[in-house]
Amino acid sequence: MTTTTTTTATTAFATAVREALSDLPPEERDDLTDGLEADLAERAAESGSDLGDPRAYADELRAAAGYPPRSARSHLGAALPDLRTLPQELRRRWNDLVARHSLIASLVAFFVALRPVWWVFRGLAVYAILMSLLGASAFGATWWPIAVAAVVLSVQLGRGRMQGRAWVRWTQRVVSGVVILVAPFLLGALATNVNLAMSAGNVDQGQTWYPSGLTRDGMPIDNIFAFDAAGQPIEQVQLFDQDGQPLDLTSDTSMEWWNAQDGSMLVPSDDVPGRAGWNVYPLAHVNDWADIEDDGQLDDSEISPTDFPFGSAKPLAGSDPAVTAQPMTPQAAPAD
Amino acid sequence: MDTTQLLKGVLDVAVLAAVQHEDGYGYDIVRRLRAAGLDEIGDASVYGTLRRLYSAGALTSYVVPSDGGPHRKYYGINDQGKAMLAEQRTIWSEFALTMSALLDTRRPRAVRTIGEKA
Repeated sequence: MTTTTTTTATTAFATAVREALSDLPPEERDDLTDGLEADLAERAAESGSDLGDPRAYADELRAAAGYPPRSARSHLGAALPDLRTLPQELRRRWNDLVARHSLIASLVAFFVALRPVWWVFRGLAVYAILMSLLGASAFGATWWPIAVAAVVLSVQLGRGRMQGRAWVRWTQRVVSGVVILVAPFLLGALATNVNLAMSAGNVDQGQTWYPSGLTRDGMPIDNIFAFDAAGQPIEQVQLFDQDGQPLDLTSDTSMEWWNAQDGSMLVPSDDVPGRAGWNVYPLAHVNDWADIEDDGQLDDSEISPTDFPFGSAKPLAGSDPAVTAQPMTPQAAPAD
Repeated sequence: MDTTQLLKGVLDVAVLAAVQHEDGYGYDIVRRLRAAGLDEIGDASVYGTLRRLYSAGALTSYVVPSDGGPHRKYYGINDQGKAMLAEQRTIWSEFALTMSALLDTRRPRAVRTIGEKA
């Protein structure tokens, strides 16, 4: 009867009060509301069953206990956390956690000391994002003053200068958020660039393989056949490059023969004083494999001149076909 | 100002005084204060104050189980609370005198010191 109604009302009231105090840590809330039902029952018994507004009761209770007032709650009810106070609430919980564990406090202090690194990174990241939006290379030297400006701005904002207007703080938060989101991609791009730069430097150390000796478009050249302006074959020609260096077939001039792609073995000319004539073309070839294995030496009988691919080439425009180079066969000196 | 405002300033000392002679639980203390003449006091305020004084170390607290009824949390004054009460008592007396003098409707007269010519 009345007692039952009172009990139900009291319980409902007490629940509502606890609800209103749900932003407090559970311990504290329980301390505050421990004897609540009993006290309410007693009051109701003495002065009637009008319990009043639980919210007002909770506000009075928390104020007397020294807690800050709860900010206005959303209409959706206490089930949802209040978004407006969420940052403060999180911060308060965080502070509690830090205060209770010295290890966490040490870690926090460590990371706080690293904040300047974050500021510099943020400045560089903004610069990199800007450059990529403009289509320019972040690594180019032209725009580095902007990089410096971005870093200085970021550091000054981090230090707390230039605060004051709300839009400054909001822009700062948005930019920091964007930087954090984009950071993995930025770091990835940076890693790729560094990798490229490093591997480019490794070319000299032979990491990229080039075939040794004479090559054309990466394909080895085994022999060269020269024809003069009139189209006549040149029996022996000495070739040099733009620096005056002999255009040797192989860079290892101590080699005694060269394995051509058609299976033949080519040898340098003996006629160059002081060195193997690897730049005298066309290179002669060894008659028979077996000759090399025999005595490790090659004499003239075992070597033959290599045939030209064709007897003569087209004469160049403006040349006199009558003028020839040294013919293949020796002939008497021209008559005077 | 109404008594609510006044009470807010002295709630601590009022609650301490209410338990100085005998421990009590929440509503008990509310009753004592109301009986002493503080009708305006809200019980939520009293409970909150009890909690705060306990946290501050001025009160002891213990739970008394009871059969067939709810457990009651009792509060009692301890040495620190007693010291606080004594201090607040002095402060209050001085303050009350000061305020009374200030609010006196009579025009203030020059105070003569001994030896001063009239």
